[in-house]
Amino acid sequence: MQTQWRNTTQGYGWISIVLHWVTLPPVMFLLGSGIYMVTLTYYDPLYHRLPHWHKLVGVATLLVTLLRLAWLATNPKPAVLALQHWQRQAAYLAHVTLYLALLALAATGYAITTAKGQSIALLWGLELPALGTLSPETTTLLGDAHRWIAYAMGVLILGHAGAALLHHFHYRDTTMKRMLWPGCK
Amino acid sequence: MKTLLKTVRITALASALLLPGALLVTAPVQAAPEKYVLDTEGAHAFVHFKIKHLGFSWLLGRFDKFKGEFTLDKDKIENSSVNVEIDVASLDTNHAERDKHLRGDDFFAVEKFPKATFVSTKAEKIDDLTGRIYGNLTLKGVTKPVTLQVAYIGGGDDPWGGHRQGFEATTEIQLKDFGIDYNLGPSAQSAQIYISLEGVRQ
Repeated sequence: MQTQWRNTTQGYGWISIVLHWVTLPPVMFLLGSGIYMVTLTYYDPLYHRLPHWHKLVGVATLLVTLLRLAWLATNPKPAVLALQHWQRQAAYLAHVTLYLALLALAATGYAITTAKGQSIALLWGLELPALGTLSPETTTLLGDAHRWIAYAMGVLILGHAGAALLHHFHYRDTTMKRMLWPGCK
Repeated sequence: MKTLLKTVRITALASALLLPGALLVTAPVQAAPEKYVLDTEGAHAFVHFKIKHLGFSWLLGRFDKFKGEFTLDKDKIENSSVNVEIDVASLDTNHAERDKHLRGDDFFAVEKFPKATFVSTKAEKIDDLTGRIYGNLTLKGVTKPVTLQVAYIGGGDDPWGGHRQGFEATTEIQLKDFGIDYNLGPSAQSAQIYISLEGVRQ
């Protein structure tokens, strides 16, 4: 039997599934490092290192997210399993919000670190240049936005995982299973 | 009687001629203190600071937004005064993340203390080109006395109908005195402040 790479109206293919789970560890790292690194002071060894990794993983996560969105746009959409209208609405809203949060975090993160026109140092001598400069007020505002969107997304991820477990253990449908491997009915 | 009248007339005439002259000779020359406003519009005033980084180099920064005025009495320097108000959030060390950190609660806490001010209390002349200004610096909500070492650079009429005087001043402050106690290491306990300013006479 051919490996199911693409999505069908019945369920997700391997590429969607892998892209979904591969995003999880980087996002966990970004949330954790984001909360922890701002507590570090001058003489902590990770004072410079952790923000550097945070930015690198942030850029990588953005690339994966853009890839996911492109894949989403060029694939059939699996049928929604939820029986009730409010469940469909909630699921749709939650998923859209998660994508928007990821993009907003990437945008605000990029903005605050390049606010004075400095580029972001990536790997192998590559740099992500600044697009322009920002005023101190705007920088502070975007910095706060970055923080609060991250917290909100953290809560949403917990809700998202909780809902998946609810579908699996309470409603006993294939909502969670079909994000683990293709071809569940 | 005729001689008396003649005397009176001569005395009156003499007085009329000499009195104004006497007044000119005996009256002291009063140069009134002149008020100058810092030329921030033309950006001919600068407020910079300097602090050691790990003891390895000097970090330079400036406050981009401030305003101020000074009163200069050329003949009696003691009558001179100066006051400056700085928009602390306008600090600039040419690094987005460092500037953000400096604006935050670890350092200047600009949301709570957006302004820093210097108000002079006393001016002292050392010689024709140098002097000292004593005053109170309010930074991060704390007011402490500081002394500025002042040097006169020059002054006179400008080509556009104005009259200007320029100075430079330096002082050093201990960060802890103003409630800034973030650990920057032993060589960064104090910061130097350098001010270069030009005022336009009002």
